[in-house]
Amino acid sequence: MTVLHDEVNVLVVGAGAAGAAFTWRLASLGVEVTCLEQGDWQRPESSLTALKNWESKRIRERSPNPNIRRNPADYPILDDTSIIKPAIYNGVGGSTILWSAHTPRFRPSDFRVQSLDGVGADWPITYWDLAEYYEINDEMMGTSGLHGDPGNPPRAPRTTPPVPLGIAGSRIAEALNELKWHWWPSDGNILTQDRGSRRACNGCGPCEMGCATGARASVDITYWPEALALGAELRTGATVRRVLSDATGKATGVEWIDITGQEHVTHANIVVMAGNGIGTPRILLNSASKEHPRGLGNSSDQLGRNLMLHPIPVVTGVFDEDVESWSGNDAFALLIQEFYENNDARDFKRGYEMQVTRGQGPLITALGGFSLDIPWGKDHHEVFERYFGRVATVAVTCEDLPHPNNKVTIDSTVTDRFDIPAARMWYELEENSKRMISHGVKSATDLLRKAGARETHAKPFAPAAGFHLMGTARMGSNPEDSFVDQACRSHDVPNLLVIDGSVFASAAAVNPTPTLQAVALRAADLLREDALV
Amino acid sequence: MSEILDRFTNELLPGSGHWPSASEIQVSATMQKFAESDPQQQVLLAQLLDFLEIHSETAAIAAELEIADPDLFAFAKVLAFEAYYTSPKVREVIAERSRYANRPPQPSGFQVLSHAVTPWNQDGILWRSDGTERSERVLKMQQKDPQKTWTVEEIRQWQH
Repeated sequence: MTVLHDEVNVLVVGAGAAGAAFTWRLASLGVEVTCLEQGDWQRPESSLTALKNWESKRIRERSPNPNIRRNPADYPILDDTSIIKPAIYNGVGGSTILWSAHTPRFRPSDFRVQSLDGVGADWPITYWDLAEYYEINDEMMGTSGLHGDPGNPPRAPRTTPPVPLGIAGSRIAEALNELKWHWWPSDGNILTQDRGSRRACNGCGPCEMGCATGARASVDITYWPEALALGAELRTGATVRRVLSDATGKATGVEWIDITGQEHVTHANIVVMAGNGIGTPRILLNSASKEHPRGLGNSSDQLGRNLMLHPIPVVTGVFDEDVESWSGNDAFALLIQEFYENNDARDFKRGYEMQVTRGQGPLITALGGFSLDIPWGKDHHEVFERYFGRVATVAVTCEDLPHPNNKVTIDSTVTDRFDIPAARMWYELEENSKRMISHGVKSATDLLRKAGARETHAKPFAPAAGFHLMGTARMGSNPEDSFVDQACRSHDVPNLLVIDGSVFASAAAVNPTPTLQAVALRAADLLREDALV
Repeated sequence: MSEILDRFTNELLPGSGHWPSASEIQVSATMQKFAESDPQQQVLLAQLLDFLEIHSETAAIAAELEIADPDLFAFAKVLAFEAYYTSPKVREVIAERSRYANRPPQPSGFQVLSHAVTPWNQDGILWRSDGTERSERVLKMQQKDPQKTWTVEEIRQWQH
């Protein structure tokens, strides 16, 4: 078959949260930028949440696990070597198509965990280098929240007021006031008032199925329309096989396949990886060459290592009365950072945050929800009635520490539809995480009891929660123990950038998306400032 | 074949009071329909039916499967629950016995009931300095005026 060749200036791989932000920023600076995305555009107007069998769709074609969903754009991720399973989406918008849009920021200490607390690795940048970019991103995505959180550095005013607490959330907030624990209405990329073509959230529940009203942001409705209007190019149905390099070791472009099976080579001055913490190392490991025998830019052997996922123990409280737990955006209303910072009096390093989740319908509840155990058989209906609509779950996001054996590798025994080797996840809980989980479960249980829950049910971690993928091409000053520098450029291959969650040196204890978007925006500015494009 | 699947699903989801049994609402037929769209599920459903046929003399066939093949049981349970809980009849029962509306979440959404709760008057600024001069400077400014409204331009200055 003839291979089709073309040439561009900056080539971005992946149209998710990071790729969209980077592309928009570079296009707004007048740079020619092209993005390749293996999936397609989504159609919010055809949201599955308006269908009678919406919950059936939730566990099938909208499953967050690509190995269950098996869409044409999904690639296999072997996960029998990982206790936490992958949760990603492939398409324009990436995993923001299925996310819950909870957007707390890293705290300043999160960037200096080694210097401050003697664990993990420091970033070569600080919170203050990203503060401006967090604000730009909040504006682009549209952020609800409340001004004045004493738990975090100051921010500019939020786009709209916070999402409502809900019945259970209100009770938990009152309990937090009694306990005198930190809490604050969460920042989220969910609008509570109309903004342009996006409508205010109507509390329908299952954000992770895609938002019919556009209240919940995804980058296909925020960054991408603006990037395209500025002249950026987005090619969908483009599956990247590998990044090409020359005899000097420099990246020269990428080899990709379109949906008809046609092979392409797109030559580029700069190649930018934004394929998430699994997809990016998969492609770069598949890009080994004579000059880069361990994978492109991988002389340090750090590529794929230090996978951090956030172990998330969950505790569900059951209340006597109906708290309508099926209503409201599903993942958050308030966040609790009482146990966030390191405390040497505890038996673990670093800390965790808690958030109150809700929004589960009948089928998901019957299957156990986050942490219920509803029996099958003669007691099933009685127990279901006791739980349905009467529960609130506190999810505990534990900071994960980097470990070289928690990693992403490639496994050529399984391939995708274009014979590209699969990714494999390797992940086990470290002792520090286990101790933190125990502490978090106790805190969440105490909180729910204080809020009036008559029974609680805990799970030490949510096995399906592999949605925060970090660390597999980490940022650092030392080329021997990191993959990219402070500008997101490969130490080995200066015209190769990684801008997604792979570059995180630490995981913090919060959702990573606003931070990875801020990192991507900054990387675009630095590329322009250094006159590399 | 559907007889043995009816028996199995009725063990999982027996009728009780207001709740129909699985066979009353044809859960086994719905399971087969759902599986038709997915080749992997077709294979698993065939394995399930084989198991049920082989163990048809067993009194408690669901419990037998749960012990003998937990993965196949988990598949069968999810498929049966999916068929049961997406049934209009069951949705009606849920709506009658809770405050849940028997309709999809969209386009109407749900009113989120709550009452305002103000965060307690927390003791000062709670985030930790990273040890940089910038951190100390912002901490002091925030401590001095916690309710100040910051502009993006002011925040941009923190980079320097």
